[in-house]
Amino acid sequence: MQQQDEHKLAQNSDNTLYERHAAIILAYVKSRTASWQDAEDLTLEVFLTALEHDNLSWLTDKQQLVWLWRVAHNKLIDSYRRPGQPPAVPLEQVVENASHDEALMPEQLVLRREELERLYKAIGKLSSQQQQVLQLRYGEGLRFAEIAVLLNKREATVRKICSRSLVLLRRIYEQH
Amino acid sequence: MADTNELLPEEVDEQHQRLIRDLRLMHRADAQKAQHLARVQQPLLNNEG
Repeated sequence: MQQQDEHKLAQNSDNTLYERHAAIILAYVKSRTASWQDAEDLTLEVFLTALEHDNLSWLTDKQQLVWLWRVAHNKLIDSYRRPGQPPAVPLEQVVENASHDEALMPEQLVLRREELERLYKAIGKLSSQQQQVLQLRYGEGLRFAEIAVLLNKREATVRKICSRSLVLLRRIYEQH
Repeated sequence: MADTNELLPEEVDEQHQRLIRDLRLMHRADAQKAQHLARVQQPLLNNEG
């Protein structure tokens, strides 16, 4: 009976761990892999490793996230996966989304496409670290503190990277 | 998203709004993200059971 209760407790704690951190770990892994399939496989490996460690429930939220990030990071290195080329959404899909969201007429769509293509190219000229920060911030909606954990940097550094990227992009974007 | 203290000055600056809107459009997370998470969780639940 007691054994069953302990098993249930451990199971609940593992579920909570997953519910708290899986979206962030998946976002991080996805930002460094080319496909959703790779990202899913690797995230699964991270949480299977976590299942083997009973003591994670004693850690704080942030310590748990750091622990999971370390495992994810090492697995990324082991598998020789390298960052893809963000933005992860293909240009055609971006234009289609804009057309749908903004209910654009065909002639407006041509101009909007040119504008988005310009931004797309500008993002491609940023460093992979700048691109990764933009993706985690604006694609995944993560807080700077969360991005800092994932990139193993100080929060102030991540804020600076993001701020500089925005200023740089705006300059390029508004040259036309 | 984030609270006011969390935001960068650029993120509240009127002049950056168009750029930020387009960045969100460009990096929009996969609409199927919940399904990706559920797919990862399923084998974990089986593993525990």
